[in-house]
Amino acid sequence: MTTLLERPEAPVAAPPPHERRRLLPQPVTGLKVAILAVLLVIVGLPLWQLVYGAFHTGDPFEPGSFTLENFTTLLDQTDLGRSAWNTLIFAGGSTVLALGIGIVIAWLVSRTDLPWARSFYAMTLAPILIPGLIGAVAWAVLLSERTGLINEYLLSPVLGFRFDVYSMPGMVAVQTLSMVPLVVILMAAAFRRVDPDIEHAARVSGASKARAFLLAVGVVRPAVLTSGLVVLVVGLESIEVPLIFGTPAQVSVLSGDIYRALRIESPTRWGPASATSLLLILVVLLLFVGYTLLTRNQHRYVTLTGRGRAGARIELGGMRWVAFLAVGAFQVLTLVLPTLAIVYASLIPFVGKPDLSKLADATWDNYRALSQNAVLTRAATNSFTLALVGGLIALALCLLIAVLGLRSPSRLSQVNDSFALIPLAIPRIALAPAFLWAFISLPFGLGRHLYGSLTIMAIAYVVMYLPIGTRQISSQLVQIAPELEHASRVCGAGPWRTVLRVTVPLLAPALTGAFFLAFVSFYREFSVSALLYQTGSEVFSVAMFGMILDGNTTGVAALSVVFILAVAAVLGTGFGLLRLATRYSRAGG
Amino acid sequence: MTETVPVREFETPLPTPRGYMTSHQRTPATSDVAPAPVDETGAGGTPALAVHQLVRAYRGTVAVDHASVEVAPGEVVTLLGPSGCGKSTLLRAVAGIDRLDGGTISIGGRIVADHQQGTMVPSEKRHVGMVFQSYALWPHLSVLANVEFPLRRRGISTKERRRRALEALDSVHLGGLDRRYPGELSGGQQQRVSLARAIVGDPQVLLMDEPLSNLDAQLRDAMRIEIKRVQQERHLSVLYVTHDQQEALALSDRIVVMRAGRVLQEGHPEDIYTNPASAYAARFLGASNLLSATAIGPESVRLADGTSLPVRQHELVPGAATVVRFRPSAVRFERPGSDEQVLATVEQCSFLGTGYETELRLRTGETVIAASADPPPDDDVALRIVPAYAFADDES
Repeated sequence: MTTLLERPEAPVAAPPPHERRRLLPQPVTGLKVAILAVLLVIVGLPLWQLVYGAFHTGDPFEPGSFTLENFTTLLDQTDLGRSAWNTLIFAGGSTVLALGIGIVIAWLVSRTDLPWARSFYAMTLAPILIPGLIGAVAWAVLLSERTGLINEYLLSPVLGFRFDVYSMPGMVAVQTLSMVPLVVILMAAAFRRVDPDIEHAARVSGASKARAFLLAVGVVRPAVLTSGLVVLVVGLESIEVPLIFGTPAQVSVLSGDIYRALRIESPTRWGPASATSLLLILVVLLLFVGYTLLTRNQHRYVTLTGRGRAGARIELGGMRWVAFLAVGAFQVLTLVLPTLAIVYASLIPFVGKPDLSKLADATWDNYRALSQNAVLTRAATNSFTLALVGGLIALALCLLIAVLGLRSPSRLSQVNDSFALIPLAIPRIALAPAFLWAFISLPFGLGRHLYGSLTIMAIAYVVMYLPIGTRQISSQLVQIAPELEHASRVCGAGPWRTVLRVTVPLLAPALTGAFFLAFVSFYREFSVSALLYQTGSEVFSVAMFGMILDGNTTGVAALSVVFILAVAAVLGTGFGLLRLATRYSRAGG
Repeated sequence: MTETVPVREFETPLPTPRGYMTSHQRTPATSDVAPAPVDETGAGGTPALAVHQLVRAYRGTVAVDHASVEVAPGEVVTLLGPSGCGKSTLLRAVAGIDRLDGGTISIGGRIVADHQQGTMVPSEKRHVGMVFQSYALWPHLSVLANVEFPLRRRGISTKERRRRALEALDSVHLGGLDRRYPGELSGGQQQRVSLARAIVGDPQVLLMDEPLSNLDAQLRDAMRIEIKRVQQERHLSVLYVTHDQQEALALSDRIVVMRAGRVLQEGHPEDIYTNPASAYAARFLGASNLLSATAIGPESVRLADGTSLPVRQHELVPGAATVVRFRPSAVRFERPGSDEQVLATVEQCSFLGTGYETELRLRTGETVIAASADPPPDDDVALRIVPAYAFADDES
């Protein structure tokens, strides 16, 4: 079982001496130093500048002096305490709920004979492909107190009350649903790595199905902690839900405070925003310390993986259809209803008193308006460029760090490895102020040139992705026996030729996966972009947020439908090509 | 094997005088009647386990095809066959981990699964112990907690539970390791924990699914002796699954040879070894040499080069084409001159420590491997082959 901080090691009883893995004979110090320099600029400098800014008067454009004022102002404000408390409830509550729901779903789809398990798994993960703002808009259409469809047609007539999504419970609920896919993806992977006989052994030893499930959760405890930490950080750093549902309800959280200080308030409050960011980073660091302590003994969690065998899934028996209905209801609630709500909202002239008969006057006007929206066209182009170019740059950097770290181990490559992990502890909402400080203050007017540019956003995206990318690639790289590369060397290929002709092709699946992940997370990015963009460098979710602020819900709905259809088309084509390719390669082989 | 003698009184009377049963002798149609398993143990006791006409099919392929197996109290019965022959599926059906599509299973006289009646007692209520091929130890629980687990929810006091778990650990020689975690133990130690966990609750049947296949050769021998000792100390009834004939021969009171989901032959290890009932069983029990021949009489065949060879025959019609199978160890080198010798030339000979392995070419062009204590005396040798088994066809 892998944890976040642990560097991947080969899963063998006696780890081979480090030397055996060495592929590149020269220390390649020049390259490592170059990478270190890049990392220092894109990771080290922003962090340093954030600390500097938090203890600095004035804004980054101006000279200032050392001060503790930023922190004292924060503490003097009564709303810091309230924001902190709200953040705890919001991030903590949604983490606990998402873990509970996600673990059960992951276990059901990966370990049991639940009907439609594969389809349910795919359906649960689908929202990951879509910007979080779209889900938020859907829930606004479904659950606004007076105009929400669910309130109007289900809760009010049947139960006699209306749920207001513009409240703390509403925020927690929406945030939870956006986190469940992450938990499911991590937990299902963990469950699949565990010997399928683990639960069977429990049953034979006299345990009920429920106890067998709890035992399986115990077995993957490190993965539970990892998932919990990942979604907790997501809860701390995301601003979609706090901005859309929290602002009208006057529920403030720390991430929203940073956004407001830098984007809404005038004059911009650089100091307090930096201080709050630093505070968030400290919180995350503490969480990591706790996580490390809790997973200290994780070497115990080595599980012999049994061979997969037919009929090895846990039979749910009578509970099979109960579980089916429960998971099915969850899909209806999180996928079907929001999609329908968005389609509905995209076809009506304006969102008011809900009335399905308005569909009789369905209009394409909202869609027509999209094509005339110049900002939107620009934003879509920007997002695509960023996802493609940024994704490739991120991939190249992560590949270099991973290969150097594992195949040319030295103190220097260890330093690079550790640097690549640092962004894990920086919530995205805190990364943005760090970048603003770092790049605005660059000398020779370079700062002003970079400020609000797509370049700075691309760099921020790459930094966010570094820890995930390097770990994803190196966890695959340790699976590749060094002998495969040694064989290439013995056959007369040089080290770099070996990397290109043997290592990279063997890593192809991991690289494809890493690029896909980078691409998706880049085009749906919001927290960092919302703070870094300027007119001209809007990205997709920023443009969408602008429309939401303008109250153009129907337009956003139309945009969402177009987006979802585009994603579906791309995915469909991709899978079609993949299937075709495998068929041909099979026929050829 | 001599120590197994005391349990002989429990042995099931075998359905045919030769002590084996072939697939074509059984009529699958009888399963429709599905009679309750009758008491077939000669001693009049209830069998610890009775599997009757079990059927299991996955998506059209039949994994277990009307197989019946019984285990008498204190008896070790081995299901022997290559991977995919349905032996593990049968075992998992007994454990309640897999369903059945026909037949009945009863444990200690109580029916736990009956396809026609729709009876399906869940695993946790079957009172079986199981050693999994992968051990399936719970890595987050200590060794002690793993072994105590089957005693939970049984109304046993914590103290008594601990005492029994420690006692089970002692009996597999793991005393003192109770606070460790499975990930900290070697493969052999994990195997012992798995065994302790399976026996701690005094199961009515102990099920073992290729328990030694993940161990290296030396450890495998030691564990085999260990399993036998624990089984005899506790008088356990064991259903053991393996594809290793050595393991099966050494451990079992009775061996059940399976093929393609069917029971091909069943009997004492010695009986099965000396009298394989089919070419398949013969090959699986080490008779790797294969010659084609023609039947000429009740006890002999003629090879393609005209040599006649005495064989143990299995219902052959004279003049019919047959296959002859024999073990490398059945080949002896002799001075040429007498009848019933097969003439051959030595192609290659290797020293293996315990003896010599010789590759020989017959005048028919066929190749034979011989295992002998001494090297062949000459490049041209005469072979005597005892015993050689002849069958109508070679299904293997």
